[in-house]
Order: sequence, then structure tokens, then C-alpha cells
Amino acid sequence: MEIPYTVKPRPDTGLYNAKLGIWLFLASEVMLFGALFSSYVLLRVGAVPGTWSMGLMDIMVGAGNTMVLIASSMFIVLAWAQLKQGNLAGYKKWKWATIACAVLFLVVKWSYEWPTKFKHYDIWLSSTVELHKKLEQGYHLVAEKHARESHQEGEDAGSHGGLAKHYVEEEIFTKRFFKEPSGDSHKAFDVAWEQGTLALSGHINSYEEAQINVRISGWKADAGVSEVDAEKTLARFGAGDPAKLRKQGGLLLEKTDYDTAKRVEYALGQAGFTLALGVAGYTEKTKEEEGAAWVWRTKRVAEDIGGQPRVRSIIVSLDHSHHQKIKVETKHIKRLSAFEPKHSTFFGIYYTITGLHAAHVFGGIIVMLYNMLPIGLSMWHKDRERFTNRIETFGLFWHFVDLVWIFLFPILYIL
Amino acid sequence: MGDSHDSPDFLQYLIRLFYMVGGVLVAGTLITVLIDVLFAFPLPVAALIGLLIALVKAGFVVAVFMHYKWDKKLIMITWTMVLTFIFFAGMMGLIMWAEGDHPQVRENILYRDELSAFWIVAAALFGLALPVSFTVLTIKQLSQPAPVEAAAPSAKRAAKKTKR
Amino acid sequence: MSDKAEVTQVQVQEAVGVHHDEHEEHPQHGFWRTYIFSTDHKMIGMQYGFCGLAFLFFGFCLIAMMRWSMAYDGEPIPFVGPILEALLGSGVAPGGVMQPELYNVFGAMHGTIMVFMGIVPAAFAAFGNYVVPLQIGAVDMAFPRVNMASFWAFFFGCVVMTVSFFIPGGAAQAGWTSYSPLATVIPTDGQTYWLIGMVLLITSSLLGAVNFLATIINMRAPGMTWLRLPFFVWAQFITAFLLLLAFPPLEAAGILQLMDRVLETSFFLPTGLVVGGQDVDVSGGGSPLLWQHLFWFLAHPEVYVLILPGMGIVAEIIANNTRKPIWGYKFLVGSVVVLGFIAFIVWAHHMYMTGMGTVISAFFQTTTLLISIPSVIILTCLLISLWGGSIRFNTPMLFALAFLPMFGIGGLTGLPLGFNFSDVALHDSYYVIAHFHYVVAPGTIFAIFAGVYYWFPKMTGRKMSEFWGKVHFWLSLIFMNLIFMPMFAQGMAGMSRRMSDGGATYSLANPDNADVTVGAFSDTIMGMNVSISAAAWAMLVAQVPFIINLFRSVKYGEKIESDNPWQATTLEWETPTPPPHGNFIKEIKVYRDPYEYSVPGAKKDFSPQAQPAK
Ligand code: HEM
Ligand SMILES: [Cu+2]
Repeated sequence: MEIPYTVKPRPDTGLYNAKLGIWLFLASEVMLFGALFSSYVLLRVGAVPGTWSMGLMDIMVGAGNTMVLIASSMFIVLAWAQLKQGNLAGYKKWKWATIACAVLFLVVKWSYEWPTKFKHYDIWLSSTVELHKKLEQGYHLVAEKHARESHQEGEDAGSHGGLAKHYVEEEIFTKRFFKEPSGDSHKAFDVAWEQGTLALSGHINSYEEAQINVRISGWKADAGVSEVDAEKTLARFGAGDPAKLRKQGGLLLEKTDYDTAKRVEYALGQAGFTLALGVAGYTEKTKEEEGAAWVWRTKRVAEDIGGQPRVRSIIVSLDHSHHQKIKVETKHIKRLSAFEPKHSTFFGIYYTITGLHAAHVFGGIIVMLYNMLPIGLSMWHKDRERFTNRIETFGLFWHFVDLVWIFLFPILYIL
Repeated sequence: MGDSHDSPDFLQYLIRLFYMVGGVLVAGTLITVLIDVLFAFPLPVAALIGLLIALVKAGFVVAVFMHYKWDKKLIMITWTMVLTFIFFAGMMGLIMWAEGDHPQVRENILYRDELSAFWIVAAALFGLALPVSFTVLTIKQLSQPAPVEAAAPSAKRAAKKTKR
Repeated sequence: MSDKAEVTQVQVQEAVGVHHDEHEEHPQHGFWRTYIFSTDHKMIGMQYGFCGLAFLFFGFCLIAMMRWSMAYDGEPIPFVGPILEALLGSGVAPGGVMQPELYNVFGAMHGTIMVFMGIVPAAFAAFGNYVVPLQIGAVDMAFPRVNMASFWAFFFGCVVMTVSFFIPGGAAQAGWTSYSPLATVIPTDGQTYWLIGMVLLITSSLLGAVNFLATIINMRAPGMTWLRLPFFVWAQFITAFLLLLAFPPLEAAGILQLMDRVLETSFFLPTGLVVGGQDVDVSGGGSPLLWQHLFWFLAHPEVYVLILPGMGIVAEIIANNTRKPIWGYKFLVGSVVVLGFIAFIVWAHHMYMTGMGTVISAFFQTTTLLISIPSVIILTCLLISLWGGSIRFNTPMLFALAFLPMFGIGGLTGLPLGFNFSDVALHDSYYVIAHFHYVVAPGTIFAIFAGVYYWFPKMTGRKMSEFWGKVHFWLSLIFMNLIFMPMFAQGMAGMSRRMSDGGATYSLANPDNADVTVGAFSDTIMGMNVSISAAAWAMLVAQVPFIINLFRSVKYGEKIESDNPWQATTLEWETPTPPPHGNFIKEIKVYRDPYEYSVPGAKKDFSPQAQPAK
């Protein structure tokens, strides 16, 4: 059995099967990305004024990546042209160039664009008074300096509060949500200021984490663990007198860190013990060396340990404040999020669309690599025209991926 | 791509064209960035400019890189694409429209702008016009005289021995 | 393969002088490649058919249990109650009593299974795969391996959905429409499984749709012009377009909802969302209405995906059994094309009650009413086709005939729903349930039955039992109507859908004020719950003859005497029975329109498409 029109186009439709198939597939892709673009527009149009972030993207990186994709798109079609001329070596040259571009594109995204965002936090507070206080603390120095430099007479110059508020509106709020000041931006800022929906925006420098006392309060014999084994487990965690501790309870670990406490709690729980965790005090820790991105979540920070939060406060260095550090107490935090998908609908759609696009790029790379391997190339030696068609078909897909990015770039980076 | 376009000369011409289009696309990107850096247009204008440039770029990619320009027989696909785009744009427009027509809370009262009957009638007429025009198209297409016998040559059939 | 057919095949090969090398043409792939990982369109079609029918049955069993809860709320389900408890835990079925959560799970999964795992595979994928390449004279689909991938994506989607019943908390509970925010805030994992399953099912349908379109466009036999395509192929062609263009937005929506659930974004969660008295820790700023738009943008075309293959099957069978050409073939084709187009611009008629605005309602109301015109044209053409025919009342024909009035009822009752003023009263009531079930259950499912009885001889070389077929038909017809007809009355009386006690609580008098009754239903209306349920169980029993007949006939059915037992004109009957890999053993060329029955002057009362004109 041989399927017709796998190589030569059918005369009346002018297409060979694969080309027809890929165009149809692209039609469905148009609908897929179309729906996402529509969602983007709808969410953006429906957003409360002053909540849709703009200008957080690095345009230069975006433009660079756009050109990388454009180049790769050009390379793949050149690779195909080489095949048309029967030049396999030329094909390989251009194909490797295409792959290199595609990989570069992903590397920029993966190791630079996204990770930097995961380290930048917005913190919303539950109290407006507290918010104003923190902004004042964080910004009064730069605000004064700014006012001096620009010889600006604020409405109520002299009062620090006025200056900081002015600075936040001009340098932070308006730039981020409106780009240019206008009546709308002013109104939106007033609302956000009054209702306390502004966020403290910056990097987390350090935080005060609980030191935990782990206390054994009892042991159940019916948990299926023998006394000996249970005591062995205790000993493993440094109990001096496991037998006594098992029978009478008492302090097992003093002022240990959170991770250890949790590990012990789990392991001993398995061995039939009931434990009580309590906060003995707080120490300041720097998160820097761990370098972990997006670890901070509202729930995690506020996790209840014997009646007190896991983290008492976090020390934030605010954006555009010349590294002025402020201390935000957990009890005032309403929500905290890095620039990750859950941050806002803007970041949500940003990561979804670019992520889906990146997935297409990734899939493309796999297919391209396959077509460079002996197993892929064997078709060239069997049936040149068919292999050429295959590269043409793949090229159509690849151009489409480029096309999506051509629209993504202005929409996500510029607007 | 049609066979008539397989001549070496034409390929050379194509390759030159590919380089040129590559240049145009890069230029388009640079222009976009430049405009953004140099001017501060209000959002709608910026959106219009950005999307227009993107559309031009997309046109080049489709026409030349995807050599749509020379695939004259893609009428079927063209229609699919055009219709697809219309659906997409229409859907976007409609749901935005719907969203804009939401009741809103103003001074603690659920409030909805009263729309003039004009718009309602217009929407209904639009709803009438779309299907009707498509129907007319279909009828036209169907009432064309039947094409002459069997354009396609006979395919290789199951019973034929394969070459191997 | 029947002995008879084998002989035919060999004889023909000898006759046309073809050396047929078994090992090259039909390699002995062994069990796995032949039956499981097959790339042959016929085997894939049967795989789809088998899975589809199995899931239709499974989905039906779910509703049969739910009907108990509606009729006898709080009582243990007889026979299956203990099994439920054992399988799903006493949390959801203590002592065999169905809890509301379980009712929700079953309800959501009933819809999902029936639509995406039952009808789409059975009506579109199974018959499409088996019959379309045969009817256009192709050797296989355009992309056999993509075809296999499509089936396996479907299969894994089904596995995910099925597995989700047994995870803690059970399967999805938010209805087949999975409206946000409800679907997002439900804490159990079932909803996430549902989304993952849907993404797989959608991928499968997209691959399938591309394949069908490429096949129909590029693989037609010589002479098979567009207006010589059998109507079934046209129906499948439009269906594939609907799938191709409508499914991606749902895939996008599914991805967004998955993000909402897994990465805690808020695409569909509005600002200030409060659940169980607590603020939800999300950014807000999303739009619940966006989900509905994206969902219905798929799901309205989807309902045409459900019905068009059915119409196609019915048209084939009616033409064959009236022994005369379909009346108004061009009208049919035109209507189905127009229907396909309009199907894309009516979706928001499911959303009148969301308060999305008058202007947009006006638009969708107009298009919705217009879409009934092509539907009515199709129905009318098929009805007129009966006129003056010498009808053979065999089992497939009975089902095909019953399709017409049943679909008619379903379609006509759609009109009041299409006007937004009357929909205000009817929305989300049992009236809507009755409406769409009339279209899909006695409509599409009858068409599927008709198709199974009709093409069974081609697949196996044997006929299914006529007697048991007729028993199956009459019982099904009666019970179908006993189930769905009373629902119109219930709906118009104001009974809401999705209530696990069948509206009993809702119907109670207000305890605080004896004079005020809340949505009180008369005993007649409430009593219908019991009669409907009884009819549903009877319907379940009525399927037993079919199931036995289906399996028994594979081995013991009456052997067919020729490759064309129904004396049909279309190309699938030109193949040996069952068709080998590669389908045709002679050169196929098409000379005629699809339904040349009783051509004046012809020797026989049917002139096959492949028979040269004199
Ligand atoms: C012929 C003209 C038809 C019209 C005017 C029509 C109209 C409607 C309308 C307005 C609704 C929404 C009711 C509501 O939720 O308030 C609806 C629901 C529905 N229709 Fe139709 N319909 C038609 C045909 C069909 C067909 C052919 C099918 C399927 C094969 C179908 C399947 C459905 C389904 C599944 C629903 C309910 C969806 C849900 O809410 O779960 N309809 N119809
Ligand atoms: Cu609908």
C-alpha cells in the first residue's frame, strides 16, 4: 500500500499531503494563540485602572530575542533552499545556525528573563496606615533629594509625608501603570493610596525566622513502632536519654531551625510521637546565599508555629529608593508575591503565552535535531524530494512560531 | 511550490529575497523599539503603531518565508485562514463589547448605562448580515457548473506492486 | 474475514493479474501491530468505536445511579450501592447512599464522558475513520501514524478521566461546563485531572481533524469531485472543520484554568473573591465570563460536532433504503456548510443569563434563530426523500427514521431557548436538559446505532440479527421518550437541573412562613422523577439485546452473500469484506453521483459510483 501525494503535489489542489496538513494545523494554532491574545485583551481592558503593569519588561532583551528568532526563521528557509539545490552540506550549515538561534532564544528566557523576575517581590499590606508609614520610611530620603534636584515645590513641601507620596506617585506608580502622568493616573493613584492597594515593591534582603523548640509531649504505642525502634529514632535526632524522653516527654531540640524542626516532626510523627513546636526566638537570616527564587508565599511566611508566625518580619529594599531597607512585619502582610504567574493577571498571561510559545520553540528544536541525526537524514538518501518537503513543512511551522513572537513582542514588551 | 519555480535562477532570486526580507524584519523590530524610546504616544496610538508594524512583518513572513506568494493553489487554506482570523477578531470584539456593557457599581448602586435601541437593532442586523452573506457565498459557489471530469490523475492503488 | 470474501479477493487479484505478496502488502505484524498499535484506518476506527460505545455505556450507568438519588433521595441504591461504597469509599456513599458530592461527580463526568469520550469518538472518529476513506476511494488516511497518535492521545485522556474517579475527593464536580470560579476553588484534585484529561482529548481531536481534512481534500479517488461526495463525507468534512477551529480556544481556556488551579493565577477569578467566608489568596482581576466565552466558543460548535455525523449516517441509510436519490443533495450540502459557519457565531446564547448585555444578546439571538433554518432544511430534505420511496424497514432504517422526528423535537424546542426573553424562564431548567437530550440521545445515539447495524456487515462479513435489532429499536424508542418527554414539563414547571434530590428540598414549603412556598412543585411534577428514573433503568435493560447481538454476530451472525449486502451505491461497498490493508483491490474511478438508485433504464435499481456510465 502506498499513500498518494506524499511527495508530489496533487494537481487539482496543488498541495502534497504534509503541506496541506501543516497549514491546517497552523489554522488551529492561530485559533489557540488567538484565544490567548483575546484573553489578554479582555483581561487588560477589564482591569481596574492602575493595576496593569507596564514597562516592567526589558525592551532591549525582547528586541534582541525577536531578532534572534527572525534570524532563525531566515536560516531555516535558506537551509531549505540549499536542499532544493541538492546541497546537503549547505543545508546542515544553515540548520545548525537555526538550532543555535533557537537555543539562544530559550537560554535568554530561561536563565535571564524569567529568573530575575522571580526574585522581585510585591508586598501588599492589610493596613493603609502601615502602608503609608512604610512608604514614608522607605522613600523620604530619595524623595527629598529628588525634590531638591528638580527644584520642585510640592504642594506641601516641607512635610515629609507629602514628598514621599509625591515621589511614589511620580516615580513608581505612574511609570509602572501608566507610563506617562495624566488625569487618569492621578485619579487611580489617589484611589490606590487611600484604599491601601499599593504594593511595596522591591527585593527581599533578609528576614527574621523562628528558632524552634521541639518538645515531645507523648508517645502512642499503637502506632505500630516498637519501643526500641521509637527510641532509636529519638536517639538519631540527638536525644540524650531516649527512654526517659519517650516515657515522660520533654524538650528534644532547642532553638533549631525551621527545616530541621519540620523534618523531626515528620519522622517522629511516623514513629508514634506527638510533638509540640514552639517559637523560642527569632534570628535574622539572609536569603541571598541560598539564591532560591520565588520561595516566598504568603502562606509560608505566615505559617503558624505554636501560635506565632514562622517569619516575624522581612526586610525589603525598595525599588528606586537607593537601597533603603525597611522592615515589614508579617502580621501586616496581606499578600506577597514575586513577579511570578500568580502575581497578577498581567504576569499570568505573560508567562502563559510566552511559556506556550517557548514550548513550541522547544518542540521545534527537538524536531530539528531529529532531522540532523542519521536517522532523520536517512530519508535524504532514500528520497531527496521527500526530505526537502519535510524541511519545507517544518519551516512553515517554524515561521509560524516566529510570527507569534512578532506579535508578542510589541504586545508584551512595548504596550 | 509549483514546479515551474524550481529553476536554479529562480532559487537564486529567492535566496536574495530571503536575505532582503530578513533585513526588513530586523529593521521593523528596530523601528518599533526606536518609536517606543523616542516618542510617548498614548496607549491606543502606540498599540495601533505596534500592531501595524507587526502586521507588515507578519505579511512578509507569510508571503516570502512561507512562500505563500508562489503557492497559488492554496485557496482553500486562504479561506480557512481568513475565516479563522475573522472569527478570532470577531470574538475578541464581541467579548470586549460584552464586557463593556456590564452593570457596574456606582455609589453602591448596581447601575447599567441605558443603551439606545439603535445599537440593539444594529447588533441584530449584524447578526442577520453575517449568516446571510455567507449563505449567498455558498449558494454562488454551489451553483457553479460542475467541473469537468476528474482532474486528478489516477493514484497508485493498493493492488499495484510497490517499487521496492 | 469470511471465506467467501477471501475467495473473492483472490479471484479478483488473479483476474486483474496482480501479484499479491502477502508478506509485503499485508505484513504479519503480529497481534500488537495489528490490533493495538495499528496505523490502519479501519482498525483505528474500530478501536474508537469500541471505546466510544463502552464509554457511552459507562456514562449511561452513571446517570442510572444518579436517577436513583433523584427519585429516592437518601435511600441506599439497590445492588450497586455496596459496590459504590467499596470502590469509592464510605465518605461519598455511606451504606450505599449517594451523597450530593458523589452526585456532582457523576453528573459532571456523565456530561464529559458522553460528549467527549462517547459521542465524539463513536460518531465522528469511529465512523469517520472507518467509512470516510472507503467512501472517497482512498487507501488509508493521509497520515496513518498521526491517526494512531490521535487515538492514543484520546486513550490516555480517557485513562486520566477514569482514574480521577478513584483519587481522594473523586473526579471533577463542577459540571461538564467547568465554570469558574467554582471549578477553580474546588479543593479536590479531580478538577485538575479533568483539565489534563481534556487537554489530551482536545489534542486527539485536533490531530484527527487535521487528518480528516487532509484526507478528504487530497485523497479523493479520480472522478470523486466535491459534489459527488456522499453526504456523510460532507458532514464529516464540516465536522472536522468545526473541531479544528473551535477546539483550540477551549485548549487555551483549559490551559488558563490549569494555571489558575496549579499556579494560583487568577484568569477567571474576580477581585475580592470570598469563598466560605474567607478571602482567597489570589490577585484577582480575572473574568469569570471569559471562561464562559472561551468554553461556549468551543461547546456550541461541539454540539454540531455531535449532530452532523449523525445526520450524515442517517442520510446514507435513508437513500439506501428508500432506493431513490436523496432529495435536494445540493440543499443538504449547502445547508451543512452554512450550518458550520453559523455554528461559530451563536455561542453566547448559552450565556443570556450572565447579564452580558442587551446589545450582544440581540446579536446572538438573531444568529441563533437563523441557525435553525439550515437545520430545518436538512430535516426537510430527508423527510421529502422518503416520499414515494419503496422503503425497506430493516433495523438501520428504523433507527434512521426515528432520528427524524426526535431530532425535530430537539431542534424545535431549541427555538424558545434561542429567544432571550423566553430563555430567562427556561435557562438551567430541565427543559434545557430535555432539549439537548432529544437532539443527542434519540438523535445522535440512534444514528450511531443505525450506523453500527448498517456497516457491521462491511466490518465483519456478517449481519446482526434483525429480530433482536428490532426489539432493541422499539424498546429504545419507547423508553427514550418516556425519559425525556416529561422533562419538558418539569422544566417548564421551574425545576432546576443539577439537584441531587430531584428538587425535593427546593419544593418544600418555607418553614418560617407556612404561606410562602418556595418553588413548590405539584405531586405530578415530582412524581415524574420516579417515572423518568424507571424508564431510564428500563432503557438500560433495553441495551442488553444490542450488546449481546453485537458480540454474538461477530461469530454467529448471518453471513453475507456479497460484498454489497444492502445494494448500495457508495464506494465502501466496492471493497472486499472486510477490506484488507489498503482497502481496494481494483482501480477505483468514480463516474457518478453518490445516490444513483433506481436510475431509469438501468438494469439494476442501483448504479454504484464506480460503475462506468454507458
Ligand atoms: C436547531 C436549533 C437549536 C437551537 C435554536 C438551540 C438553542 C439552544 C439554546 C439557546 C440553549 C441554551 C439554553 C440555556 O442554557 O438556557 C441550548 C442548549 C443546549 N443545546 Fe441547543 N439548540 C439547537 C440545536 C441543538 C443541537 C443540534 C444540539 C446538539 C446536538 C444542541 C445541544 C445543546 C446542548 C448540549 C445544550 C445545553 C448545554 C448546557 O447548558 O449544558 N442544541 N440550545
Ligand atoms: Cu448552543
